[in-house]
Amino acid sequence: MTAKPDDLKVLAEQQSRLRGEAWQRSTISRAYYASYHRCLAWESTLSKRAPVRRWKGSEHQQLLNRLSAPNPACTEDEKRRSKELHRLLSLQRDRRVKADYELHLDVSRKEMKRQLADARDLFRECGDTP
Amino acid sequence: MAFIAEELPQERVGRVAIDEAPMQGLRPLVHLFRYPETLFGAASERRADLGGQPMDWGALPDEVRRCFQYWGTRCTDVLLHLQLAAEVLRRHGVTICRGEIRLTCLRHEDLSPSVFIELSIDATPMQAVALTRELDRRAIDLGVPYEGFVFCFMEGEDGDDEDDEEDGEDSCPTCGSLRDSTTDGVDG
Repeated sequence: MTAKPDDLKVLAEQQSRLRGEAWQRSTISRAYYASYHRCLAWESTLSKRAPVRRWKGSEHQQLLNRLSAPNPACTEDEKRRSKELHRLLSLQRDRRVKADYELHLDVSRKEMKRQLADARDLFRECGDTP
Repeated sequence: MAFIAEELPQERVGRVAIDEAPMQGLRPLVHLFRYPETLFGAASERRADLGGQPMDWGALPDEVRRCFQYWGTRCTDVLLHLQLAAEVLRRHGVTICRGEIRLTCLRHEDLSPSVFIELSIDATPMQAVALTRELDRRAIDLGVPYEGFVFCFMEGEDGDDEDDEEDGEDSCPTCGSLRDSTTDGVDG
């Protein structure tokens, strides 16, 4: 891997300094992909990966499905983290879809900040130090 | 998809749309979205943040129904989530803002739908994030289904979207120790 999830998060943080709705949308998008890849990396450290609950949806949806229904053989801590990551990533995913596709809807700086806060929480939940 | 900015007579349009939707519990749920004080108690004077665009309550029930049917989500699942949200707010003495719950119906690249539910509360941005985390943990503990919709608290309108003074805030006068370690602001 030549780029790490944290690199994407740093890029999102840097973009957040720039003013304008286009940058806000881009920040939200970068933050989501940082979180998506961080979740994939976290999942790869589990002793037991969750079985695929259903095939409906994209790779992103399938990751969410696995996070929401972790393998019963995982530790209690892993299962709890997995479900929390599912919720954090779901929120960020929906913000990303709004930012990337719903151009007729306002995307505020406040929404961008919430996305970054959720991304930070997600990285922390994955065991990263702030 | 997105809601068109068009305010229509609520009773007439709402009744017709919901009556066409064969989904148990949809009517009271939509009523709750529109009048959140019926569950969350009296609102503060601060206005809810609706993103500058009033929702199309005529089209909303059908969009919500289609989304929930796709995922097999029951209205009672969402209602339970909202009841837990009310419990979390009550525990921390936080009130909701005056106005509707903000709903955004989205469609992902794989065409799966989702309803983004945002409830404005009279709190700071970081309090809203921390309270959402607390709600998530509580809902996970109770095994509340979370598919086809996402929910979060958000701060109400403050009239200045460009204000960065909240950045980096990690103290939470209302929630005390809820916010554990985030200290980095938008500027990193």
